[in-house]
Amino acid sequence: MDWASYPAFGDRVLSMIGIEIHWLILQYVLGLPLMAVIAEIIWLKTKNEKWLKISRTLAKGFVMVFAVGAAMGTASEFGLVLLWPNLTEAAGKYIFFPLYAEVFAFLMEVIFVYMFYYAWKKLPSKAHIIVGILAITGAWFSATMIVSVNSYMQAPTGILIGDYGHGYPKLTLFVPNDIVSALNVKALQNAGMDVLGKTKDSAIVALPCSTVRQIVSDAFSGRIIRDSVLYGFLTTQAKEKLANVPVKVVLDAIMWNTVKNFGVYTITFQSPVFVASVLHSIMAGITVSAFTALAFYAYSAYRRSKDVAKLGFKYSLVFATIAIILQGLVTGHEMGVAVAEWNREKFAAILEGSPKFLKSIELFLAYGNPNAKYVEYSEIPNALRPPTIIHTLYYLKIGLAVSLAVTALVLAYMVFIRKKEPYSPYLLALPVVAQVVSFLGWSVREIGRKPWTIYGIMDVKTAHTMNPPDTITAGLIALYFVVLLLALGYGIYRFLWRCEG
Amino acid sequence: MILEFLAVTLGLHVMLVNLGIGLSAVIPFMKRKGEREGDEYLVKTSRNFMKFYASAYALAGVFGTAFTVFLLSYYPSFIGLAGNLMFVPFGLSILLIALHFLSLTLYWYGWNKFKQETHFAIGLVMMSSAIMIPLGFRAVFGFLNVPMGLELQPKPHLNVLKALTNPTFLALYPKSILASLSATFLVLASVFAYKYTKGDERAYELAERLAKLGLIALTLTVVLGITYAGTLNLYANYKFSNAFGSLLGIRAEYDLSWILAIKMTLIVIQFAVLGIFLLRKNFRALIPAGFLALAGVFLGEMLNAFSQYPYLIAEVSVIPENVRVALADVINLAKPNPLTTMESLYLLTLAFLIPLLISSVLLVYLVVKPESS
Repeated sequence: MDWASYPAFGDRVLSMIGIEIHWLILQYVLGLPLMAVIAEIIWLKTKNEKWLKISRTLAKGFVMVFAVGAAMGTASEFGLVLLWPNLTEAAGKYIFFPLYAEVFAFLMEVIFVYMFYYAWKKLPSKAHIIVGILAITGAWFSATMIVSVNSYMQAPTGILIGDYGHGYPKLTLFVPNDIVSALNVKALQNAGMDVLGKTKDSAIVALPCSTVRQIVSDAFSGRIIRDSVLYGFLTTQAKEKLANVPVKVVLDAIMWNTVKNFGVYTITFQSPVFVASVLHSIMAGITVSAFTALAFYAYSAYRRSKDVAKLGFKYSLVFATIAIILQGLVTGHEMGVAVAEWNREKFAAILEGSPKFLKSIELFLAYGNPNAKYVEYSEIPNALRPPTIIHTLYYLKIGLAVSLAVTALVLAYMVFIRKKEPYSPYLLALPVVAQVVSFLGWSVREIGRKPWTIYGIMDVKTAHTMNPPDTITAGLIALYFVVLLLALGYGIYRFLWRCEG
Repeated sequence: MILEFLAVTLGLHVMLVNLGIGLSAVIPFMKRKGEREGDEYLVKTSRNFMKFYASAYALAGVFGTAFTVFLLSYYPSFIGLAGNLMFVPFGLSILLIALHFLSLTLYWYGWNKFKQETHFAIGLVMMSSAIMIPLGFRAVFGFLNVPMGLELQPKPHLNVLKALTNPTFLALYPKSILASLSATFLVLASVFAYKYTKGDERAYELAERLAKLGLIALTLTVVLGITYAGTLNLYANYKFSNAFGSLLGIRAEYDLSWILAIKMTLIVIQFAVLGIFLLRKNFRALIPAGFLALAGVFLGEMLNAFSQYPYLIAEVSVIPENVRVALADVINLAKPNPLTTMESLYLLTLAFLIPLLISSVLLVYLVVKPESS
């Protein structure tokens, strides 16, 4: 299916630009503080002033971009509220906790990132390093909270995978007893609902996501029960009594009860793709940061051949090589396995049209068997099919990531074994490629979730605002953000690259 | 505890933003004057202020985000409603926030690296974006006073032109900007008065000039404040009654006039302090003016935000009956998200917030502290 054919194409692109600019910048806050703190620890141990200079330069890098990155985060947050208000409302209502805790992470990040930069020579070295560790903690804590919400959107806690013919995917819900008494259980079972068990105050059921999707759509479009799919699932008595009740009242009661039973504070962290997602995201930040520092020091050494630049180059190269290998072989692999298991439609769209040998490799990596049976794209019901463009995006990402890894390994061989000095302005391409790989990774993840905004629960149309901006407005806003990004890029080049270099 | 958390985050956000708006106006002009007159003292002082401003504005951003996220968690349906209606006012503010942070970054890191004229021009962008950011937010506050511009056909939407003619917004926005300038001038006047008492002779002239500017801005703020109160009396009487209540002997649902009484007392003291300083050149008397001004800003924001309690929209009579009934729970501060009413959440919030607030004070201290060699 064509990516543009899903609802709200323009607003999806606008959100993608806003969030990508935020992510593009904030990856440096995930990676550079770690590199700066380690460089400062090495300085403390060796008393070699070059390490202190490296640490300060890296710190200047992330402090410069941090303010704009944070502002873009605020812009993205408001963008979500304005373009996807129903998604925002649902997140605030049912899975608010990680967003709530992210406020503390953000505060921690701001305080200690700035303190790390401004408190040099104002704090004892060891205290300064502790400040740096707190800055890293704040940034990673923040990423963990946001990625947990995103993980829930990819694979909500309680999602059940199975045959499409039997109504899968289904969502586990804890329905309060007072609502159960109003339901026609037989009608629901005929529609594919399974009763999984009971608690003191609820019935545990698995409801087909097609029904969940319709109820959520009815609720957020302000329908009353009489006009909703829910009406057909009520007992005759309840139909009379509840006909004029808003669907949202019922949905809220079921979702709140479900969240309470899974754990108000922990529900998003129980998403089956959470651990792989958070590790893959943080490692992406480290990888992009390391390749950017590598390019910066390569260019610097090429222009002026200073010892500190050469040392910075070696240091970044070690970081970049380790990061890209871990990202590919460990966190990326785990992410792929999680996608194959929990996002079968996405996995099928990635494999759709692949040559046989590539499919065998992917299946081997995902299931440990090159001939493993998987759901093919053609087997997926139309209403659940993601866009096939992710096939191209995925392989482009893998191709570029492999080229990064090979470059890092070749450079490491040249520097550490052949004792060469391979400084070249061409290495400036590395951070661009690393950023593109990271962007493509998120694109596969987000575009591949369509037609859902929250998998199995809320579709794109339901999440969207009732008053979207027109195409020209959306285009101008996108252009505005791109111009700001270019201005920031120029600023960094002018005041960091050229001055420090 | 929910209202307390909202009040703390909003209050801190507004106080820091007020300082930010004022500093973004003072710094470029102070530096420019210093450069033109070859006055190194002014250039150096503006740089010190800039250092403080950058960190204070970052904290202002965090507390603003905290307020929004707290509001989303406690009153998610209200945020959903606002998101569906408020694209233009919020969107405008977002665009300006992004521009402001970029100009702030370029101004700070471009110090001594751009040509003086270019640097000043970036400073002007920084100042104008800071002044215009509240335009959208204050338009939303105006809407929350009286939902003018809300149209229900063919679907619920905001008629932006009508919303911008909301009299409470037209009075509130300039009042807010003048209050920011007034508070900042007085804070800086206090700083220079303190410096003068510690032997810094140059601080004399700056304290005096800023105190005079502060007096003018404070007087205008009071005039606009009275105008704003007048528009509330006419268009959002429920809120007006709660704000003025027993002070004017009016019946109030939730009498918050004690906040107004303290705020008015603080304003009177500010005038008195300024009078003593300007007439008798008593620098010690001027030192508390900044604190008094910031406390006044904090109280004013609390009064404005909560005097429509328990509603988030003060004047609901302009909304048709059937819609009003449907929105009854959505705009009711007394009906928060039930998942957020757990005591453990409040304890957790305090456990994070208290040490982080202390750390933010430490950050500001470290930023302004001179480097040891």
